[in-house]
Amino acid sequence: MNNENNFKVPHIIGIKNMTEDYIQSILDEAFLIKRNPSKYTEELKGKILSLAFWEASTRTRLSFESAILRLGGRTLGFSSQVGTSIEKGESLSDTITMLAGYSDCIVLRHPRRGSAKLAARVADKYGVPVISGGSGSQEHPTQALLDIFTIQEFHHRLSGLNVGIVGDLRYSRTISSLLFALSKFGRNTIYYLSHPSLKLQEELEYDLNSVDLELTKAESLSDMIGDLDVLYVTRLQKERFPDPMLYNKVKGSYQIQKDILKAAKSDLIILHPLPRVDEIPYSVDSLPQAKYFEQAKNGVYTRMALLKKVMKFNLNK
Amino acid sequence: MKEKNSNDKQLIVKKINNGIVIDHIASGGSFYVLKALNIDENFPHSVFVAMNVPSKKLGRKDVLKIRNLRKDDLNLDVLGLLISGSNLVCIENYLVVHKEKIKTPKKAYGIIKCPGLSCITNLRENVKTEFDIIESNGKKEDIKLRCVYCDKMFDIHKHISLIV
Ligand SMILES: [Zn+2]
Repeated sequence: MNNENNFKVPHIIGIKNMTEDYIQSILDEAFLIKRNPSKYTEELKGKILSLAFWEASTRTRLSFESAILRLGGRTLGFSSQVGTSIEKGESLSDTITMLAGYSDCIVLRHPRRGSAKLAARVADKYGVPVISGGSGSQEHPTQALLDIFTIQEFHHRLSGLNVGIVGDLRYSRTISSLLFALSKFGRNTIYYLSHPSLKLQEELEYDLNSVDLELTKAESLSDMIGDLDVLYVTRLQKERFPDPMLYNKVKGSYQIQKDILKAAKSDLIILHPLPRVDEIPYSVDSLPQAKYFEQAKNGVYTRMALLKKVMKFNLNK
Repeated sequence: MKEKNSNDKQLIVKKINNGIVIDHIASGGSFYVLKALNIDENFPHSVFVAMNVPSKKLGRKDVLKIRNLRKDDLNLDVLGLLISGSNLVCIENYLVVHKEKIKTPKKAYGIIKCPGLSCITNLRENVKTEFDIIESNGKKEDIKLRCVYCDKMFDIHKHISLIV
């Protein structure tokens, strides 16, 4: 289970402390839901989910909203700091305490690392589960769940895979969570392609040292493409580079050109957490390997499974 | 130095009537303790520092004596992170009233601000910092703190100014 702090109720703070079994149980549930979503329309009837987004989000927030609506529940919340009591200086702890009184579960996204854990510690006192929708550059657990759900859907396994990761290893919470997730299932090899100034955080490197995951640096896309089962592409953010000139100079080497994909295996799948800018050109969308929109759709099923699991626990109490 | 015959032994055993003595500090450690205790020219009591004196056990060691300080004035967790393995002796009226070996704590609560720039604990929250202690390679001198909130790993010796 995911219970490092003797919490009273389950919280989804990160993938790091989840067990393989717990993750697999969410994926299994999500597969059932995807097969027959209409069966679950009364599942969380009468329940309220708080969506507390201190940081802008489109996909994560909307897919959580879609998920709870499809389960028969409702939402309340805010999607930016503007016009809320937070703008007036209210702390995270106080906001979470308030939301714990208004709802049955809280999804939060916050720009600070550690925000999900603090929220969980606060809300746990009231028996209200917290789900992280992204905590700074630390983790984005529900993104990783939908990522590996998609991988399992197409490859029917989550071990023994060669996964290429392109982009920002340093500030991408999505990649942190994905690496933790892949490390749980064993015998996966990661080929990463990233600019040296965006290499893995020291802390993440430390954590990955003690798990069953092989990390290999790739020199170029064409260098690794032929070996890959999954190609995971993330957005390079200009502002992460020490100098915009450097960004303009290197960004081309992280772009997925159609030509390069000719050398790929036929069952390669290309994933991207979206939104993309120009790291995957539109011309790639029509290729059979392009699965990023399917991946985004899976966000609803995996979040339905997660909400059901976490909020049902609450109901049973 | 000039005084070849300066008697290290005499320096170390110079007795204090009231206060604390920390002996067997690994060389260089006294410096961190002084900083952590905020001891500077404005400190009201006498402080005796012996650095790099010969020691059978350690080769070289530091010894620290601070007058009129009591055990309650010290945060043993902080000392445990800085100079684990040293011996603390408390003296009242020339008598030893307390003696203990300084040990690395299992966790550190609220003793230092998190150096993680994007850590939630650095944002006006009513929350005590909390750190796990990690002994890299099982070596005491390589102790690192790890924030349970933001995961930041760091060497406390490099962040003495953040001790609260
Ligand atoms: Zn921290």
